[in-house]
Amino acid sequence: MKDALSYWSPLCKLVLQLRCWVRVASREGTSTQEGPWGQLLTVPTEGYLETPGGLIPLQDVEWIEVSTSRIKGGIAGRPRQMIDAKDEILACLRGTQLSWELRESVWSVEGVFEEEPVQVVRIVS
Amino acid sequence: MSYGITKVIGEAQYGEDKWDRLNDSNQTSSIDRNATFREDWGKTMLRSFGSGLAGGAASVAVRGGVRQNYSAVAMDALGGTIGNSIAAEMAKPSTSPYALTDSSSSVGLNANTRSGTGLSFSAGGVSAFDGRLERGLAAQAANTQIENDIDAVNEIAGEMEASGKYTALTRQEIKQLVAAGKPGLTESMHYEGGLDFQRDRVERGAILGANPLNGSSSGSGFVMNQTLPFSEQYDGRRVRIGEGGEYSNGLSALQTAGGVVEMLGGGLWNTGVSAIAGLSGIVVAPFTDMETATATIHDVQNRFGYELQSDGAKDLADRFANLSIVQKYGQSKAYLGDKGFEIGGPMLGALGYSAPDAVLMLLGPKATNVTVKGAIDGTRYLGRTLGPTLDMMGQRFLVRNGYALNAVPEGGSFGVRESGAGSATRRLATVGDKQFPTADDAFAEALVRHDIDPSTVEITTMYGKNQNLLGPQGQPWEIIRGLNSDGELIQFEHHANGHFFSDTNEFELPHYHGPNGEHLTY
Repeated sequence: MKDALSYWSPLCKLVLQLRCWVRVASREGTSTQEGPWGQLLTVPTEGYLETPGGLIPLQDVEWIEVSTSRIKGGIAGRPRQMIDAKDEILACLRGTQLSWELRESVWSVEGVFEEEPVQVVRIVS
Repeated sequence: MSYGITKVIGEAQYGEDKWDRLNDSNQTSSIDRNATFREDWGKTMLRSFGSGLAGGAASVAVRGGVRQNYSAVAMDALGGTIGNSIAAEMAKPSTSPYALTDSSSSVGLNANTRSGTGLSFSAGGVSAFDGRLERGLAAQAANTQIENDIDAVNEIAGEMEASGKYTALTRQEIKQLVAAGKPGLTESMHYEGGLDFQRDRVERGAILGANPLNGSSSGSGFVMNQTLPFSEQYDGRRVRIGEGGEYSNGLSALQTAGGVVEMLGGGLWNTGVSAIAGLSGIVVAPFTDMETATATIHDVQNRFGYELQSDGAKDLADRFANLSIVQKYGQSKAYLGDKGFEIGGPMLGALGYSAPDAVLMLLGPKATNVTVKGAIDGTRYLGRTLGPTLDMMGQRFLVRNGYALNAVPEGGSFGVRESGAGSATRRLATVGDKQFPTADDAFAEALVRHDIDPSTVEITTMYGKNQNLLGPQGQPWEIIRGLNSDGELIQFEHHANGHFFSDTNEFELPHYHGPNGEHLTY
């Protein structure tokens, strides 16, 4: 458990520091459950990851995707605009022991936009 | 009070446009002003009664700036909750020097309780900013209003004294003052409070905002079942309070009558504080020793006890100790010291029911791990059963807003749990965590920490599948989105049902998340 904690902690710090959008996939039996996108990633107590989709036992985390973009506007009548944060994110990731890869994916933020293509960094457990 | 803070509070209370019009005499007709004040008069009085009487701490909080003083704001919110709780529950003369009845109101102080924290959103819908920040600031707004009221009274008193007519402030004179645009004063104040202050002093009483004093109030939310002792025997002669000419204390009638109001309110306030202080001592006691518990009581008393402020009240206390209102105020002060360890009394159950936020705020995490047996078991108070009770593990717990007074968590939230519930402990705090008296306060702090413009906030109610986010009856949690000062979209979660961590047998109270993942609990 301590290993999982030390593994994911740098990512939590990165996500919160850079206000990244993330989603977490967890193991549920033999299947994988993909959570919603959000900006919460923290370890509230030993053994748990608090994610946009709720609490997930650390040992159940399969992968975490970090969007390389952030969002400007999109609510309150403001036009939506994507902000490229890829370089910032990758620079931080390179200083960690995390296993990651760049992937093409889709990104949804309920009520704001649906299934937009986005490049993500996927970190596997 | 600085203009900026007043403006913030005013806008929160009235809305930006309305506030601007209120403060622009060129754009505001007297009709508009009157209508606004009529509409808000009852609220103002109720708020003033509790929050205004909180005295120095509240004013300091406002003067210091809202953003920079959230701890002080929390104190005020607690004060509001206490006042609300006491107003609602302390209706028995034997438990209080003053008798109250509650005609029920959701205005003003009530806004600090958890019952109005936006759970009315439709499932999955996106709501506009639902006013929590305004409610969180409502207690502060009361200070604005009461200071305006006091300014108005003082100004009128000055006018009257200068003209040598201060003992005969007639309705016509008030009209003239209104016509002259005196701040905080409207003609409608004469009767809007439903006053019967004393037939020949209606106008004066109305100006002072003394409508709760003789039981004929309408619209202020509660009334005091004690007739203001407008006449008192003193030194063998009958003294009429409120008539400066006969009651020759060197102060104007207005100042004197204001002192009466303050003294009555102060007495009530202190009685309420004593109950909270005693409660805190009770709950701290099992963890510490008698000395520490007593110190806790004194600390609460010192922080929240009310000291007379106005010249009128001080004068009454100094020079007319035989007056019944002075004696009763003194009794309330004494009351602060002798109700510390009334274990098992109905007051504990009443306060736990009415003001769980106050209890939790005062006691912090310890409150969640203490069982006060007997105090809330089947409690009936004034013929009323206090809330739904929850039987488990051989004990009965009082449940309020989804959690028990001693906050026993269920898998995912706070309710019944099959096993191990009673032994659960609260999660150790992490950097940045902070406890707040109400959800509104926590929400306001979250917005500040995330640097979110409140006017851009959208709240989505979530039901989802994660059992660790839902309440025991499937109560939802929320996602809050808003734009920060850079225009960037920020999202944070409101885990309104707290969490239970089964692996570690720990729980966390309901909370909003801060930008560093911290928990802003309430």
